[in-house]
Amino acid sequence: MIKNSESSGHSEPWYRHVNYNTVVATIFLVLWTIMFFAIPYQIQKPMLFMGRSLMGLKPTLFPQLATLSLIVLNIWYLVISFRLKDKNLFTEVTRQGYFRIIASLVVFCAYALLFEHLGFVLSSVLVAGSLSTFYGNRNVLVGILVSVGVPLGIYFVFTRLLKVSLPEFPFF
Amino acid sequence: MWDNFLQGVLLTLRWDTFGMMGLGLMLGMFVGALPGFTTIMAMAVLLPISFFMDPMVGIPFLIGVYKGGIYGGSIPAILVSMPGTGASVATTFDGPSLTKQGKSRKAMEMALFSSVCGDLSSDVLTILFIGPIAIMAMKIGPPELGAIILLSLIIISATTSGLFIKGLVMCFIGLFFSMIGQDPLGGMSRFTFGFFEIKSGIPLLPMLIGLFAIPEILQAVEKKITSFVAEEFNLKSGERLTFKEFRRSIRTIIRSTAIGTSLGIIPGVGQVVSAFVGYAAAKNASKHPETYGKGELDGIAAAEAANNAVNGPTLVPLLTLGIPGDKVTAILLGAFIAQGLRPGPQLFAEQGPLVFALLVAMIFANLIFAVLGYLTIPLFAKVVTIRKSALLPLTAIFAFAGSYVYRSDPFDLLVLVFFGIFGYTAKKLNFDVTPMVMGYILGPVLEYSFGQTINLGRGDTLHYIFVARPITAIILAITPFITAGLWWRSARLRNRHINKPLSEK
Repeated sequence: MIKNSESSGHSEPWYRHVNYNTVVATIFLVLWTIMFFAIPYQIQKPMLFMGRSLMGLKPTLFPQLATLSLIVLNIWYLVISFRLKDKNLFTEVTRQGYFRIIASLVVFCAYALLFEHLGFVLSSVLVAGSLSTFYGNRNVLVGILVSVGVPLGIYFVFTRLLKVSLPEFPFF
Repeated sequence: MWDNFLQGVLLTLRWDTFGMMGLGLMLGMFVGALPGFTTIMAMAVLLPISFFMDPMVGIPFLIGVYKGGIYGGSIPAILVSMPGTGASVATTFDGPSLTKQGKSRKAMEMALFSSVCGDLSSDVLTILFIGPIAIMAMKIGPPELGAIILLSLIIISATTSGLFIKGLVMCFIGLFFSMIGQDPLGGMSRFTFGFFEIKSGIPLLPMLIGLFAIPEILQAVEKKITSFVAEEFNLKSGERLTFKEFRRSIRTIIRSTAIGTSLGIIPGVGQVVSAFVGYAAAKNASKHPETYGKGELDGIAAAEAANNAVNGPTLVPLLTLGIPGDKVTAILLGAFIAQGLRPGPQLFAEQGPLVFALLVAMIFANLIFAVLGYLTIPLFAKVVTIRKSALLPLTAIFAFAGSYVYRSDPFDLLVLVFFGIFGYTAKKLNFDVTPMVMGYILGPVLEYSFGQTINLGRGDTLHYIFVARPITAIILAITPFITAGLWWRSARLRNRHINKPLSEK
């Protein structure tokens, strides 16, 4: 029988078992502990009438219970994290993969910021054109269809058929 | 109840409802047929379209996407052994072998008809039983509702992919996100951290689209983008399913429907588990189990009938208690809320005909699905050859436009990107976002029930619960045992995984 790494790990020092789960659990634990102590400063005080609160229930009670539960759960997570063997899937992403993800995220952020300024159609033409080329499309016809046809089609569906507004064209 | 049902049938008979259901089915089948593109993503991206339609058009449209997507996932599972959705993983056991034998058309037709039979039967059963369940649900008060929500959140956290503890952590993070904005009892502003934009809370729609659509785009671009598969499929010359073959699988379809219907009512279990259980039950009951996994048509029928039989019952906890059991029902709940409807015990009392109309629409959706699916099998078989480089930008644009239109607030686009990054990171670190979404959606209801219970208890809540509310007391008493049982199951599964040799993983 193959020996379980949980049972074989008794002789090894604990820090050898530190893995990404331990790091995540520690970060969460710190974050939620800070949040627990910040609760009184992050919740509006209820109005008082004749020196008594108008609310029957303290507004901090439920958030404190929820955050305390999170702290307890994260302590549990931290304790068992040393035995966990699930793989951090970030380690499987190649350098080119990270480049493509970061580039996509930069385009998404720029799209979110320019969406209203450039208008839906123009910003979408730029985003769809750049992304489809970046993702490897070399077919001009498909490129035009994706980068021009699709934004115009979505604009038509939302503004004409569904009667909702999308940012107009920037120059007129 | 009978009057509500009849009024519901009349409400359904609209050409625009049928038209949008048909469109939803086609879109669902299209996305489901793309390996790597999930039905959840399609529903999240198409959710905003439903907001601007009448509830009797918008919600059936999403139901169409859902049903079409679950079936669509079986197409690449049969053709190229790549399940289009998680629900069709069990279909890959026999589908590809049938394709190798030149019987892909036969397999897809069996998948279609067993899906329709499983789904249709489970919808009829749902209509029959939802009324009595709703009557019982109407009798429950805030303490019972709070206890049921707490237990449901624990079950959902345990049954999603990944470890139980990770599910619970995500569930409580969702609960925390739901507290941002205003508290549901006194309207006090909280956790805004000085940002005016989140004074009314985190918007649900960009959050859903961000969590379910953006991570899939990012995951798809990790590797060099190509077509889903390079191969073309000619189905015109393939063998067709005969009535005799279909009749031989009817027992299997009935068994799988019963399994899917009973599992579907449990929050969090879903199509994947149902398909596997249905497949295993069919194999165990078969006189020739050795043929399973080698191109057995009955195997396709077992998996597809079971995963589609979940579709109707999964709406029961949503419509009667307001508790979404999985991602799909969470998105449907988003559609209900945007339409000004809050699923739960009161929905039946106030909008009974509408609820029945939606359930009747599901039956009609199945009939349309049988016809459309049969006619379009060759068309959707070609979908697997479409290039991702064309589809990913299209999905991104739809996600951004959909997030913006609901409130016309550019801040929502930043929320979309934030939750997109959050969802992607969670996926890579083996956290499932489903419990988080459930925590976020059910958080305000749980908090409201909690506050009401404390107020009703008049200073002695425990005495009130254990003396005046016996059902609440029973639910709260069994919750620790269920939690311990789920934790033990999770630990056992984890240990089994650790003990497995690497080659088996």
